[in-house]
Amino acid sequence: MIPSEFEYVRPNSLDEVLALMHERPDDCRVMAGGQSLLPMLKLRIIQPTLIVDLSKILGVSSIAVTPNGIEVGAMATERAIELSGDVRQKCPMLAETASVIADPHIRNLGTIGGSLCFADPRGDLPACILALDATLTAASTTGTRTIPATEFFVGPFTTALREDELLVGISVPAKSSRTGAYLKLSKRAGDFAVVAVAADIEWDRDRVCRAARVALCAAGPVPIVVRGMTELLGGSRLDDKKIEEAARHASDSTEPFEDPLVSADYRSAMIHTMVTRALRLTRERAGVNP
Amino acid sequence: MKSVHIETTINGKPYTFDVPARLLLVDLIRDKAGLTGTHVACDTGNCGACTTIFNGVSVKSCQVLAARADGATIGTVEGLRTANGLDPIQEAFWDCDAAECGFCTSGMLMTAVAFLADNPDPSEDEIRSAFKGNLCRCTGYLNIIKAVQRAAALRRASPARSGA
Repeated sequence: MIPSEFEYVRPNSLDEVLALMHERPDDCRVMAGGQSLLPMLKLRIIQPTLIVDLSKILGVSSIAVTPNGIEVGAMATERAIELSGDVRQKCPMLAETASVIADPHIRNLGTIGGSLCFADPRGDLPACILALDATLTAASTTGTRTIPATEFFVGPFTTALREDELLVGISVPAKSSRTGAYLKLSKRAGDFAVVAVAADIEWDRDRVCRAARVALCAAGPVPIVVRGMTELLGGSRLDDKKIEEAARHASDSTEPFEDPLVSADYRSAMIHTMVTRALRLTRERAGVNP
Repeated sequence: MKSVHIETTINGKPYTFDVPARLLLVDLIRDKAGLTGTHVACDTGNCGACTTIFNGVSVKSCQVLAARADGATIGTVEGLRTANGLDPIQEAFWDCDAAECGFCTSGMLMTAVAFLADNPDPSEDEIRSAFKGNLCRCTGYLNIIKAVQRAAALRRASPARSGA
């Protein structure tokens, strides 16, 4: 399978990329790692006339710890995130999520920015950054703006970015005491999720839950934040009864899709199971004894 | 025809090409450089038969544009053979009967090269994770895992022998 013909440029600077996106918004596609874009080009699902290769824009591939949290460049590869000591220490769930994507070869090229902008409802990183309460930074020729993760995914394979905007960075806010877990159920290792759960719990000094965010992957047309988790779990030590209530709420409040391998009912049941497991794991990782 | 100019290094040797922008890296390696040890099986990024080393990391070369090879350093299975014969990784695959039909083998070998460079003394679980992106329809994988363990031991015993 060979893509249809296109013009190819590989700019050395972000400004050049943004200028091209501004001049040719309709027929231009930017390529980060290419691990989703190239398969789509080969299947001719899309046939852009211009490919702008971002692989020389290395300035946006850094991972940095700041007093406010972690700043991850959009071009950081999934492999770099998986192996980053800073990410593992400050935000282990992000590394855990990266480590279950596809296989090591794909992760060597696939980027966090590419994965988020592709916005596959079954993608792993979108649910993760939703649970982490991240903020995304988009750049265009007219400047930059920040978009909360909760407003970024607007439909299947559709984001809040304008055609001339490029995602350049992801900010994960620092929380004083948080534990998280990303648990994925898939038919085979590395497959897309049947369902996956990202759970992030903030604890106060007495190891009581202060805030809870649970996001689901493959549970609907977009990655979903389950509403009301802080109200349900806040003030508790995530005892089994509370976790059962939260898992039931997550399952009841979503309407998952069916596909040839998995029925909607099975997905609902697995949301319940996986939310239960993910919350128990966050509790265990916090050393909390309910 | 929208063409791109590529100056690249494959197995330590410089190459120059002018190729269509839509050409895939695996086709550049096979058809333009004539290095047919890199195989194409699925052409969808699933099977790993086309695994090559690209700027020091393992990639599926059917999932990379050839244009991206400009300025890159590429390693293929042809680069493994040393003046003294087989690379220890190849020798271990030979010793452990880790190939049957052999179609996946060059991808397996290149995955092993990248993996053992990062992790010279891997556990069996780590090997299984590292080879998640490489399918073999003959061996059932057990002999491949044994071969990677043996290769790791051979490389630790005499690191200078490695061609990769």
